[in-house]
Formats: sequence, C-alpha cells, structure tokens
Amino acid sequence: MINKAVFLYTFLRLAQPTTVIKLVLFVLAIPTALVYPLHQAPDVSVDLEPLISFFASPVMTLVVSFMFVSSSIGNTKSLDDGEYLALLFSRPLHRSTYIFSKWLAGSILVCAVIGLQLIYFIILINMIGRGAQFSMGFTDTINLALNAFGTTALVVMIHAFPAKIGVILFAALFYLSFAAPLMVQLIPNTALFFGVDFRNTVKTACNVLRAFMYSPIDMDVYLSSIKMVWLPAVSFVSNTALYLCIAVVIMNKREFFYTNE
Amino acid sequence: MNKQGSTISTPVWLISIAVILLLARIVVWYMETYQPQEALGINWTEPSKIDLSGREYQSKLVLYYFTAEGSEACRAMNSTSLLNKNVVKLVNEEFLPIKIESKLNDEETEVGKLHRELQQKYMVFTLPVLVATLPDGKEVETQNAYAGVSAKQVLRFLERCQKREGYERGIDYLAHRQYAEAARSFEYWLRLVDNTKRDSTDGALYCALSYYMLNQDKNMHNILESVLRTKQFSSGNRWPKPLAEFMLGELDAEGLIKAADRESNREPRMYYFIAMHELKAGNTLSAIENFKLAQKGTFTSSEVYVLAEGQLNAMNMHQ
Repeated sequence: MINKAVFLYTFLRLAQPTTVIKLVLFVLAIPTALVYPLHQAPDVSVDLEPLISFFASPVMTLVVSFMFVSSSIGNTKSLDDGEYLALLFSRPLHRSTYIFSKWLAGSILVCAVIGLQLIYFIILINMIGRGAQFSMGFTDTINLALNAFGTTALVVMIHAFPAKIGVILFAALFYLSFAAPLMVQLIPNTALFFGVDFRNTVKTACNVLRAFMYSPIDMDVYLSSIKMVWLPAVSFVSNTALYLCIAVVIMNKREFFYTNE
Repeated sequence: MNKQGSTISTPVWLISIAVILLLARIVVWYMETYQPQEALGINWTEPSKIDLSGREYQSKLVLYYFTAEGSEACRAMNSTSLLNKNVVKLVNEEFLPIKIESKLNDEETEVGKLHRELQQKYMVFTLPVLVATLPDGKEVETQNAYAGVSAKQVLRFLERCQKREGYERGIDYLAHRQYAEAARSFEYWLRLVDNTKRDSTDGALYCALSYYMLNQDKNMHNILESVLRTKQFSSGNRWPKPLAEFMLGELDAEGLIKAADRESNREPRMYYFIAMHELKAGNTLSAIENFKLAQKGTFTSSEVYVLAEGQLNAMNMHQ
C-alpha cells in the first residue's frame, strides 16, 4: 500500500530553498512569539501547560499540514515542487498507493515539524529560566500523533480534488456550518416558511456537517474517564477512513495530461 | 485492462472499512444520545433544592454548571470533560456542584424563572458555562465551554478557583471590616501562590492592610518586606511599591500621589489606601472623600469599588 519513492520524495521536497526558509521561519516564529512575553515579565507566574497543549492541538496540526503537506498532493504544476503526475500515473502505480504514501509521509512530516518547534520551545524556556515548569504528558504526545494523522488525511482529501476545487468547497462548507445556524437565528419566527422546526433542522444539519468536517481526538478522555465514551474515537477513525476513501475515489476519477493546469 | 486489476480501482477493503465505521458511528451516536444514562460522576444538585445561606455550605466554593437540553456542546462536555475522574473527584470533594439545565418549555415554570435569574446574574449568554462563586454569590471565576474545553482545562480552572477563593473571601471580609478573617484568608491565599511573582502583590498589600487596621505592625512589616523583595521592584520605584512604602510610613499621602503621578498611574486603589489610613487616624470626613475618589471612574463590580462601598455603608450605618 505504500510506495517507497513517493513516500521519500514527500520529505525530499522540503530540501527546496523556499521550503527550507518557510520551515525555518515557521519553526522559529511561533515558539519565539509565545516565549517573548514570558521573558518580558519574569515576575508573572504563568502556567505553561496550555502552551504545550497548543502544540499538540488539532489547530496546529492543521496549519502545519496545510503549509507543508498540501502542496505535495495532487500537484501537477511542472515547477520545482510539481510531481509530473501525468507521468507518475502512467506507470503501474495504484492511485490509492499514492494517496496512502502521501498520507503516511505527510503525517510523519507534521509530527517532525511540530517536534522541532517543541525542541526550540524547550530551549527558549530553559534560556529564560522557566525550564522546570515544562512537562509534556503522555496524552499530549499521543494526541499530537493522532491529530497529525487525522488532519493530514483531511488535507490529502481536500487536495486530491483538481485545481483549488477542494479548498474552495471545504472553506465554503466550513463557513456554512457555522454561519447558517446564526443566520437562521436572526430570521423572525413569522417569516420562517416551516416554522421553528426549520430553524432546528438547519442547526441539526450544520451540527452533522461539522462532525464530518473534522473530529479531533483527546486521549485524556479515554485514559482518565470514569465511563467509556466511544463516540469521539469512532468519529475520529470514521472521518479518517472516509477522507482517505474520498481522496482515492477522486484521484481515480481525475484525468491527467502533460499540459494540464 | 479490466477495472479490477487497474491502477484506478478503489480497494474494496477501504470502502468496506469506511462504510462499517460510518454505520458504527451512527449506532454509537444513537446509543450514547438516546439510551438512559446512569447517574455517574459529579453529584449535581438543583438550585431550588438548596439554601446557600446555611452554615454547612459556607466552607466550600459553589460551582454552577449552566447547560441546556439538546445542546451538542453541552452533550460533548457531559460525556468528556465532566466524566474525567480527576475532575469528578475534585468537584465532589471541594465544591458544591449545582446544575442549571435549561429545558424546552420551562420558561413559565418556577424552576425556569430561577434558572433565568441566575443566568442574568452571572451574565451567561452561551452554553455550557462553569461559574465558581463564594456561597454569598460573589463570582470567583467563569469558564466558557461553548467552543469545547478539555478535562485538563476544566481541572486548571477548578484549581485556579481554589487558589482564588482565599483572595475573594479576603476581599469580602475586608469590605465588611472583618480584618482578622480578611488577614487569615489572604495568608491562606499567599501560601498557595508564588509570592515572588507579581500576581501575589495585590493580595499581599491587602493582607498587610488588614494587619494595619488590626494594629499588628509586626505582621504587616513581614508581609510588606516580602512584597518589596519581589523581582519587579528590584529596579526603581515600579508601582505599586509606593503603596507598600506608604503603609510602612516611608511616604505620606502627598508623596504617594506624587509617586503615582510619576508613573502616570493615579489608580483608584491609591485613594482607597489613603482613605483607610485616614479612617484609622480618625479623620472620617477625609476618609469618606477618598473612598468616593476611589469609586470614581471604576466599575461597580471592581474590587476597589466593592471595598470602598463596604466602608461607606458601614460609616453610614454608624452615623
């Protein structure tokens, strides 16, 4: 299911000058931005745990996936970062193999980038004398890995679509899932065609839509709960499988030409 | 080449897994949403069933949980953060947990009206929300969970409330002229916080003020010396160091105001400290004037306003 060349090339793409500069700036910028205020106020006590959890959060994995993984998926541009997919798929390489290789490589890449940020964060924290406060728990580490796999699967699905269709579609659906319930709230009851039930239906539909947009996982729920709740874990795994399935189907349907896009 | 062996075929196993997981998700969602839930976890009580003025409730913080029937965000919180064993243990042992659950069609019921009153009192606009208060209803801290909140965040919120409790009780006692109880509460709070950091300074100053009003000069000096030793004051006269110097007698009221002007910081608390000094010296009219200056331009919910109001009320009652 994994093609070694595709897998390795996803990492080698980072060696391009523009990507290296982007990576260095990204790895340095966020920890510096977080630590600088602490350095300016040494006499204020700060709980570092939320900052550490931020690195393992789905927001961070999503941002890293979009910045460093998305441009390597389904990219047919014949520039430095293109992959000549038209040529690639003329070989007996299953497109599903391509998708899975990208997913695995992208997930490891996301973990590596965030790992570098954390290392730099630890160095800075120790330099300002707050190193003793740093501790990254087992659940934060697991959350980082799992969220990296989940968000990379989402990014792979979005970029499996041709051109920018996936990005536009995802952004529109994401916006709608938050905006629609708010817009419907503003309509007076008397103006609703189907009464108050229409408002509730819209809210329910948007909740369902949001549940399929992304479901992050928090292992703390399973390791420290007094009662097992399976829905978050099942939703996470289901979403990941669905994203990969859709990515494979879309990639199978795409046509590639030597002069397209 | 037939579709089965082609490079554009979707693996059957992938489609099967995706479909099975989707079905499993629907089944699990149904079971966890509509099946009857056992009463596990936090021992919530209803606000209508409890009288918080009773002595048995005075030693604990009250934790209000504002939630709503049918809300996805509330359901998510109920099944994750509020089932965490550390959260459950801490809430059951150290807090008085009260659940305010809004239900459909309860607007006209007595319970519904009580719920709405509490929501208005604590300015709850989105759900779910956790609000920690003292037994007299004074808010300590609020945690909004509409966008989701993890068990760790809830634990940190509860721990902050516990730390903050001593400080809030101290302010309450200080406002009601119960200086001995105020000093004890602030001392308790100072033991929990890092007293080398800036955020302990305010509580330390109020603690010192309580000792000052009790004429316990030795305790006051000890507290003020620890304030002056914090890192923020190691270079120059950074505010609120002049307040400590004022209480030690190193600055008079005029000197305090000049020090505040140098830092462009004529904060209301400065007038409050001057007023307390005047009150102790028996200059009631000057004290009243300074208490009113302390209240000017501050929110009625700010602690300086509350402290000044408490003193003004006490003086009105005695006149």
